[in-house]
Amino acid sequence: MVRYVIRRLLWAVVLFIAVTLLTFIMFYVIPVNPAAMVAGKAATPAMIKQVTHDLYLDRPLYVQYGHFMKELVWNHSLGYSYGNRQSVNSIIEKAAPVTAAVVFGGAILWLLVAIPVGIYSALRPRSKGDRVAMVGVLAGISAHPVWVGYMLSLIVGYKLNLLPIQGYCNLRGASAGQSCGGPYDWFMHMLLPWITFAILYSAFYVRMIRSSVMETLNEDYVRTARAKGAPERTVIRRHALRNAMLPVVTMLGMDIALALGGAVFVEIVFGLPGLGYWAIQSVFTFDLPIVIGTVIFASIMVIIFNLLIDLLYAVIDPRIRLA
Amino acid sequence: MRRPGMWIALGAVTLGVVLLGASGCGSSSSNGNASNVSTGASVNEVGKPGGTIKAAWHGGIDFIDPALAYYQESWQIEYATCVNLLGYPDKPAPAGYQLQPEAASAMPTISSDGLTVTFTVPPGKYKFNTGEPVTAQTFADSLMRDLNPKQVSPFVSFVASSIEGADGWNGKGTIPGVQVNGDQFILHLTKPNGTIEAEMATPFMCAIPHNLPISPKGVTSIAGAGPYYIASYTPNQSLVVKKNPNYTGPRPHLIDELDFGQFAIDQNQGILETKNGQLDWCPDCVTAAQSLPLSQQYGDGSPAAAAGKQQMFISPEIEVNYYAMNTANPALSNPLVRQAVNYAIDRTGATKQLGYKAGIPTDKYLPPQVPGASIEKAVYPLTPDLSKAQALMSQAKAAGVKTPINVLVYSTQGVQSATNRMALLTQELKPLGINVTVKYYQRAVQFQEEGVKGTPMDIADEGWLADFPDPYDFLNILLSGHSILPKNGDNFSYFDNKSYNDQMDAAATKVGSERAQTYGDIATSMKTDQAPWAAWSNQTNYDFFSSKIGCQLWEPSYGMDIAALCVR
Repeated sequence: MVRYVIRRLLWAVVLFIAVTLLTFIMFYVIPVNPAAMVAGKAATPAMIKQVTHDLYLDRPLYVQYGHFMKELVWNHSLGYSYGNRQSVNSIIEKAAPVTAAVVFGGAILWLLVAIPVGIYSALRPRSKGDRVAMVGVLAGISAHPVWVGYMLSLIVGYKLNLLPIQGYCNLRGASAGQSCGGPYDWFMHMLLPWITFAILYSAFYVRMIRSSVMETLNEDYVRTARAKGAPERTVIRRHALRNAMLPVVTMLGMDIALALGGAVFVEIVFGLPGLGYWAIQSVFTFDLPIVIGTVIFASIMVIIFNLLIDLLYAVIDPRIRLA
Repeated sequence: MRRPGMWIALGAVTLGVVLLGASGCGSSSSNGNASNVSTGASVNEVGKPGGTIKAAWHGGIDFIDPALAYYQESWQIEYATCVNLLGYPDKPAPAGYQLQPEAASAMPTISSDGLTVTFTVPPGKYKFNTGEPVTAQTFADSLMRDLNPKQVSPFVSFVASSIEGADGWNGKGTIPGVQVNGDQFILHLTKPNGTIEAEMATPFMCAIPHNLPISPKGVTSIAGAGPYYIASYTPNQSLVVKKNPNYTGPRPHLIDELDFGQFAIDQNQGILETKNGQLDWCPDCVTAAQSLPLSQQYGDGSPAAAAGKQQMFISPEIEVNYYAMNTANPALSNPLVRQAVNYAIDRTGATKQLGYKAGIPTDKYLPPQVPGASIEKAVYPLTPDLSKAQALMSQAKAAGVKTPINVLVYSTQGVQSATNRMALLTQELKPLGINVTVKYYQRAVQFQEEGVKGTPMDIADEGWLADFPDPYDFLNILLSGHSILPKNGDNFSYFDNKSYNDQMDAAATKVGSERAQTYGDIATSMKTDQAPWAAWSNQTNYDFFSSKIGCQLWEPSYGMDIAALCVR
């Protein structure tokens, strides 16, 4: 088990280096002059020269990458925005909780919807309820989150005035300039983003849980349990669901990690200053340090979640650690 | 002025970078509304003091540090929170772009040789919100901080070459050309500079508190001596502007507070929130798609306006959209071909593609708000004159120009109006034997590529928003041979004509009506003879407010005047 853990950790480090290297190269070969962007449109050649030097841009690429990694690993610094010269760390520190709120809240909501509906559909295939659920799934998968978000804002927020149209409130209380804050405001402002986020994912999960449960119900051990006279509720709960949920747990780990990298559409529609919002804004303005920062942060999240899932699997299934 | 993606902005306003009508808030006893595209928002209304305006930005600002702030939105804030030596009054055009003394007791005295400029600053006439008085030293501090190389301020490129000892200053000691003598702030210039007054009125020269540290990342807290001050600022998140309790100047300051609580609002959502009053103002939220319905419902001539509650305003920017034709490359090196292009393009059609009243078609190099614009003559038609264009092409062929001519145009990626315009341009130039190939770039990359000397680009699809309302900021910056740099240049037509360079250099030293006349004549002559550009429109700006906000005033240089706004 220890060897397995060490092996996974080493792979995680290799993956991290590969991701940072590829990201760095990818963004620094783009034909844009970062020094000119930092110095501004009205910059003099002398200013551009100075900024070029300050940003290490007058050194070979490998030196630039070395400097970048040194700053990242030793000083835990992702650099500074070209646009407003703010620390990328501080931007990500503020953005990550917003995205986490969207993703984890959305995940709870989509599981609350997907698990009962998926199980119900699996237990009553081709029933009216199953057909309604499948139509819902189709609609959920087909409807683009941007459209869903706008419709919810328009109907629930604007026309019915039941929930805020958009925006983000700090969980800990209103900060300067903001008219909302605290747990209640935070929750109310997050409801529509969660619903939007959950519609897409719950559709996927309903379908996945339905097929997984249906598949498990046809397994020999389920038939054996029934043959031994176990009550149907016990058969489903103890034998079918526990096994059917394994792939769901795997997918959940992956999806949450990926979504942390940027619940882009939801954040943009609802004006949530999360990682996805920043990634998109920065791509449009070629603010490369922020783009690199968000990509690396998302990659680290994926690596960590993958590692956790690998370790969890090793605990659950001994065959994996022996492989 | 730098804009975060000019064509992106244009696509949003049309999307996302001047003049007004009547008098400022509280200056009239009548209660009515007036606004049209040529003059901009100007609501005659008696505003009552007090109230808070809730606002949000789609794009936000770059900095609040006066040395670094360079976005249009940032300057709008600076205009409300700054005191300058000279300033633009909160008045409609033409008074709104006439410089007048602010912290200075009078316009500066300029020595007969034009090399010494003296401002007298009565100490304590203005005070920061902290109580610190504004003195002559305040402005010396401001200028020295801007010029310090560690601050990396864009203002260096404006003034460093014209102030004695400023160019190449290492940030240590003093600058010989910047002196304070009692209540006098004195500048010693290397050459006469006709724009020095306008430059001293830019937000870069905002009064700053004594000992404000050098900060290349920009300070996030600063006292203000204007009608308002920045009470708090969290980058990328929020900005609170409050009334300066120590302000005794003549500028309007009715509202108590302006809160920008969000920097990342989706434009459609911003409009929804403004419609139902959850938000009072989102300066950059109106998109091209929304401009027509909002104008019909809330704009000039709408039922809302008739009821005295106009909410949608369309106002002109000090801006020009133009095709810069690369005179250094063979394709368009012949002036006759460039003139033909000027006759062939549909300025009205291109402007319509921007959105509802999103621009005003023109062939002038100088926007109407800039001195000299009324002198500059209209030469080229607003709709195509193909026969004239073809006649010019015939002359060009007789002079040795061979057709077909293949031209490479650089335009902006991801902006529908730019794509449409390029399709239009391609069709317009085809009858002249000019084949257009378009290369699209992200905006940030586009102007960098265009600014590299030797670029293969033949036509740059460009726009320029003024830093200050002066013809120098258009002609000298964009069309002088001195603006051609190996990289990062602004002269995208690479026009380098000695005669015009000399004329522009000479015009830069002139002042007043002589300056306007000279620049107007240069623009007419250059456009007629050499045609390095095909200017096609002046951009407008959309502002949409909630029904509770009044006293809207479009300040020619800085846009919607925050200090003038009131809560009904």
